[in-house]
Amino acid sequence: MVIRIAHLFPDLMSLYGGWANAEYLKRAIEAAGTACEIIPVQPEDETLPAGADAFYLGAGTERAALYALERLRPQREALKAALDGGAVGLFCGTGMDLLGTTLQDMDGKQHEGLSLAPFATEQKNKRITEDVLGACPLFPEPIVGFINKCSLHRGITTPLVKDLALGFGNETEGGDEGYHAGTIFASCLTGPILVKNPALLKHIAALILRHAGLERPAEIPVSDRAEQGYAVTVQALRERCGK
Amino acid sequence: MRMLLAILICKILRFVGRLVGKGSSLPGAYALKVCPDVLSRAKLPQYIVAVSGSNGKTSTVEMIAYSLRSQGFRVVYNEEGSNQIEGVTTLVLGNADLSGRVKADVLLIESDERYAAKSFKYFHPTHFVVTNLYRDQLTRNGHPEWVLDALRGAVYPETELILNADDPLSSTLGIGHEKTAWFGMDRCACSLPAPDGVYHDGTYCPVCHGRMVYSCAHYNHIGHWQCTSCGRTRPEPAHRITAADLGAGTLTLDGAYPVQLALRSIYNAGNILAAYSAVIACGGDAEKCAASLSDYTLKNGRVQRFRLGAHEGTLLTSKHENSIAYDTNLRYIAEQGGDCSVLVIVDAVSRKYFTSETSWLWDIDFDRLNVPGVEHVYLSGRYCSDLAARFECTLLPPEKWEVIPEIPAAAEHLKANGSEKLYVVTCFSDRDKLLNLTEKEAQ
Repeated sequence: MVIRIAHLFPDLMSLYGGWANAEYLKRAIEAAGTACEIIPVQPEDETLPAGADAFYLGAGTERAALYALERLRPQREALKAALDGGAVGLFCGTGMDLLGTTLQDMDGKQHEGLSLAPFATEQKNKRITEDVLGACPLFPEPIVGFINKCSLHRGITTPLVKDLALGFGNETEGGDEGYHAGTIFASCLTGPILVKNPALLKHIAALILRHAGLERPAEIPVSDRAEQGYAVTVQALRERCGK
Repeated sequence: MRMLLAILICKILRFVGRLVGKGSSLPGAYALKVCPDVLSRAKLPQYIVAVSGSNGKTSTVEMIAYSLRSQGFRVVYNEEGSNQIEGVTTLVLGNADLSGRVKADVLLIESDERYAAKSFKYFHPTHFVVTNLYRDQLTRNGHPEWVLDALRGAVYPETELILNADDPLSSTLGIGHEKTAWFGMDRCACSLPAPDGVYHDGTYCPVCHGRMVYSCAHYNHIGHWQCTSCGRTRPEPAHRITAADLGAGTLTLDGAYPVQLALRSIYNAGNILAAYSAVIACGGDAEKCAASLSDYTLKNGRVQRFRLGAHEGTLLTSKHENSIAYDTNLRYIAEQGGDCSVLVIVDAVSRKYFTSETSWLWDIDFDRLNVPGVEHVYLSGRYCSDLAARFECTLLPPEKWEVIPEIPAAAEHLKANGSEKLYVVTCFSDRDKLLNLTEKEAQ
């Protein structure tokens, strides 16, 4: 058995070292005893890889994201069918912008989204960049990361991160951030969100193993270095916001 | 009257600031409060040269100034590096007489790329050099296209753009801009067959998102490019590096003028070419310019030699949050040959506080250190675990690198062990934490 992670548009949507998410998922799955491969999917590809256990789409520039949306729209039904079937989807940065019902670009033009989640995206002309610390309903460990976006996401009722102690959420400072429903995860936390958050890595890796029909192992090993980096970050961010 | 007051305030505060070693933004900030449009009232020199871009601004400006001065031009420039409107105001008023006339032939301005539109609202450069645009300090810049859009607001029809033909992104500033001069590097001995690195920003055309192809690359997405979809292609440069041998440390400009490189990096070569193009645009002599830049050692202290125990050390100042600055230094180390160790220090990314933003570490191609000459790599600083997590995803065998969290402990370990060459790669913000523990060589 080889678990397959489809990395959507790895060159077009490659900002902020997001490739590390696919790489760390692969390593975690392999460390749990199952072979894993990352399949790059390019904008020119006509179809998505059949039988993929996970799909990852990272951040790109706003213009690149609009192009990615155009290229993904014909694959929307296939992607929806895979996600409905339990495959895991992780959409980060402007990758999240494509997921909702509509996307309003910086010129005010409205685009039809992939409609894989019930929210609307608005890209603005102002950039929001700041550290984030918040709680995740899925596990006790707080989520850490960094926001680097110009988008607002309206109408999300099932966020990935709740009650930010630090940082800007989907619509407001200190609100909720990201989106989660079933096996779909989305967040504007940039870059290596799964390296920075070992608990989230383990959670998503377990869902991927489940989709492949495998039992969750007692432990999904995660790099000690990543755990140490996480501990330092949590402590520093907690100190900064006095929590 | 308000202008006179602004000039006086600026000059007094600048004088006081120099006595107490304070920065150069404050006098300009106060002057702007007194007279917000003072920059449009000042009487500026014939040549107003702005230099912007992701990398190489400071070095390029320094070389332009040096070369023009060596040819007898009177040049004023923001040597302190304050490159937003307040710093530019200090520069202009600080060098003006009481009537507001700047006493120089050339006003040379290093401009922050994101704030150039604001800096040049009240006066427009006669020449605008853009060295390149790529991933740099994304926590404040967002991404290169965001910066490009900000820079567009500083481009005026009467300004002659001096652009890098090898950069498919910043070269879009020249689309539809009549007064554009190009510089670029021919395929040389140090050129690569295609862009390399962890990410590939040259894969897609910044205009139409079609696939691009390269006949050669100099570094990252800088090279000889063409879009296979819209047909946009690298413009033919007016000024070129026609030969480059980084190993021998030599360049030839425009097929005629040799330059000996004090720093043998592709980066330095690009900055020299940009400076050369700007000097000629200001009426400087090409041959004299090349001669002046030959063996020119930058004063901005980005390379520092030192001794640590039996190690001969070289500190290569990179910029945190700038993967290409790191990549270029790592490539330089790998190309030097001979046995060496490398110390990478990431201790303070933000001047204000610890940040969780370490994504830029994943954009750096640390695999460049996986060459026989590099014996060992040490990782140090407060972000050493993040660095180590990144190194776990490199091709370097685990026995070839190790973590020593505290910088003094890393220095102590190196001092007591080995005699191979030592390269230190870190940022301005962290370099003295190591240099203060070494015997520095005079620059």
